[in-house]
Amino acid sequence: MSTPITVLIAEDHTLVREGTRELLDREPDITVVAEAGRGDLAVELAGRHHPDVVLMDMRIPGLNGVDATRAIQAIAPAVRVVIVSAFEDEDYVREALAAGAAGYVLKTAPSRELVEGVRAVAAGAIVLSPQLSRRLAQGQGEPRRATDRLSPRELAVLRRIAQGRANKEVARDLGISLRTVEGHLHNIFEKLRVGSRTEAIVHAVGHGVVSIEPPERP
Amino acid sequence: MTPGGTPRRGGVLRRAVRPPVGSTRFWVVQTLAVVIGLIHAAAAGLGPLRPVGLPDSATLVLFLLPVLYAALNFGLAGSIATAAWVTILALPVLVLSDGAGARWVDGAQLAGLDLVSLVVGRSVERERAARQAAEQAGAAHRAAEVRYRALFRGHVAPTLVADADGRVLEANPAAVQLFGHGAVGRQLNDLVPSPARGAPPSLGVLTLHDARGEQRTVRPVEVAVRAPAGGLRLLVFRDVTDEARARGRMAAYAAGVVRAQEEERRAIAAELQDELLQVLVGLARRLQALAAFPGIPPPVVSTLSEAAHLAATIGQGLGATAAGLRPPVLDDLGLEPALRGLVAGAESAAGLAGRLQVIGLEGRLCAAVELTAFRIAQEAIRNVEQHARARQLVVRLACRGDHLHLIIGDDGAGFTLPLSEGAPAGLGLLGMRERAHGLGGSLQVRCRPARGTVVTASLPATPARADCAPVRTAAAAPTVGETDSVGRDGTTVR
Repeated sequence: MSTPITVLIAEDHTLVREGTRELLDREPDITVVAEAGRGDLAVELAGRHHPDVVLMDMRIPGLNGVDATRAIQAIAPAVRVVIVSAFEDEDYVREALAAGAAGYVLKTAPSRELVEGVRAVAAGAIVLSPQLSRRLAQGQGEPRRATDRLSPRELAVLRRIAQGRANKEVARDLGISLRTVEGHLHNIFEKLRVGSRTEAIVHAVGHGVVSIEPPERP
Repeated sequence: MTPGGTPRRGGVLRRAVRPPVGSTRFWVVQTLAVVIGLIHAAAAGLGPLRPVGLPDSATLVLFLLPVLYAALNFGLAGSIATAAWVTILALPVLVLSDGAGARWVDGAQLAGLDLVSLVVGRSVERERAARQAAEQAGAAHRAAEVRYRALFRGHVAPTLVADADGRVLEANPAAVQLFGHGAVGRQLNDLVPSPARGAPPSLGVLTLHDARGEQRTVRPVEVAVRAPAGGLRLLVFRDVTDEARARGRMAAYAAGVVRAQEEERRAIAAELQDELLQVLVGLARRLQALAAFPGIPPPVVSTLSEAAHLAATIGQGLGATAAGLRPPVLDDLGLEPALRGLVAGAESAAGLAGRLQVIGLEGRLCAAVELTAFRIAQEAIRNVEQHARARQLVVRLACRGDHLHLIIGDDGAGFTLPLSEGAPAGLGLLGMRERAHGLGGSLQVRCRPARGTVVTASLPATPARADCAPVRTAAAAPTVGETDSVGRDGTTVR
């Protein structure tokens, strides 16, 4: 077995934090390396431990989940943050993804979803609770066929972007130039009528273009 | 002549036979006539004066004295009686005088005397009547003047009279109390800010400080009066201070109730969301962790998983309840996301095709405005879900200038609910209106049977930074253009 996935739990409710820790500790390939009851502490610990994944409570004292995510992304971009929230509103999801979160999982979702989510984001995917994906798809208001207008190459780019790859990686992956990737992205934005990378990802996830299943771990 | 009466035609005879017998002067005159009669008789040779040699006609002229005096003093009644008396006194001399020629001359003189008495008496009487009539008219005019002046001065409503150019000519004491003594001579525009005198004269109220510095709320009504010199403008102010105060108190009470309710909802939501929900989530995780413990028999594993799922489901329910009481998204992210949540909820709960349009909204608004708009939308959408049998729901939020317009429309059966106060549905509507008014906004409900309902709220778009405690100004309270009830026939009732 390869090295276990290291996880930081940021959660102010002791019961939830301990429950989550027990749950994850049962998984052989996951190790909880740190716990934080405050947002600012979570940022500090993430900078110190560099865990693979941070499970971040949306509402946490000190620094709220979204701001803490932004801070972690600033000091440790490789750390994948999953927002854990009781709120289903798509705007929270958008905000979280815009702050650089790699996932948004409902607190009341089945525990299995949380465990799978940790694995998926560790593997580089974007993870959303299924009902959120559905809602995002509806909320988008665009006809479902919008993504159909994307060319196979554009779809391939979008899929990789949604999995958390940087433009450079996508270029190498597909054997094309960085400028071509940027050109594809521009076309994708146009066709999906979105203004940002995050929106494009949300759209793709919402429309089932991108699977949340983790790709093969290297 | 009777006082107050006017001389009538045909009354001449009646008055002539009713001489002023009560007057001493009348009898003095008659006595004078007797004296003159004696002189006349004497002069005519019946008495001792005959040798003096005066002509008969000379003494006859003396009779003019009593006749004219009576005419001037007693009018026709006096002159005719005196003339008759004089004629009787002169008659014996006339009859007994010698010579037919002289008799004719004397007779003509006597007739002329009677004629003079008649003419002078009549003209004196006419002149007197005219003077009396004029006096009476003047008195009536003065009485009317006094009456209307008392009305103007005693009227509790402050009243200003201005000329056509708006210069104040008169102010009654109530107006002086309101505007001070300097009101007369000033321009209406200076005394009354122009909006109060806008095109529909009864609209709008005005808050002023009276001469004693007390705040008064008045509703001015302008009346144009046609007058010979270019017309007058009459401005009457109805004092609605007590009304406005009572309305203000009721509004404050309603706002207090709403605030308390919101506070309670927030507290309950927080308790559910931050405590109970968390406990259930912790429980679910622990149960699931327990199920993964090595060596647990499979049936127990599945029971534990189910229990974990159940705890999570209850937690989900609590979260939804808390969000219904006070959606966190409203406080955290603002109105647009919160409305999106409402529309999404209506889509999944009632199968409606929802659409949210947001125009011109930039940044967050004052919390009170956001909450009010949200609650109005929530109530309206609840009505659509429960009563409208609609297929489509459109929520539109438009920010124009300093106004926020919220429109909730559906294509349902129309709004034919009983709207009597206290009925549950009516209460919802009243609550929406009360909330809108609480911010100085307005609410309108338009519905046409089978063509859907449109609820329109207009609120001040106070940005979040400003001091945005809900303020109800006196002027804003009776909102112009509000709908007070909804007609069953589908028309908007104002």
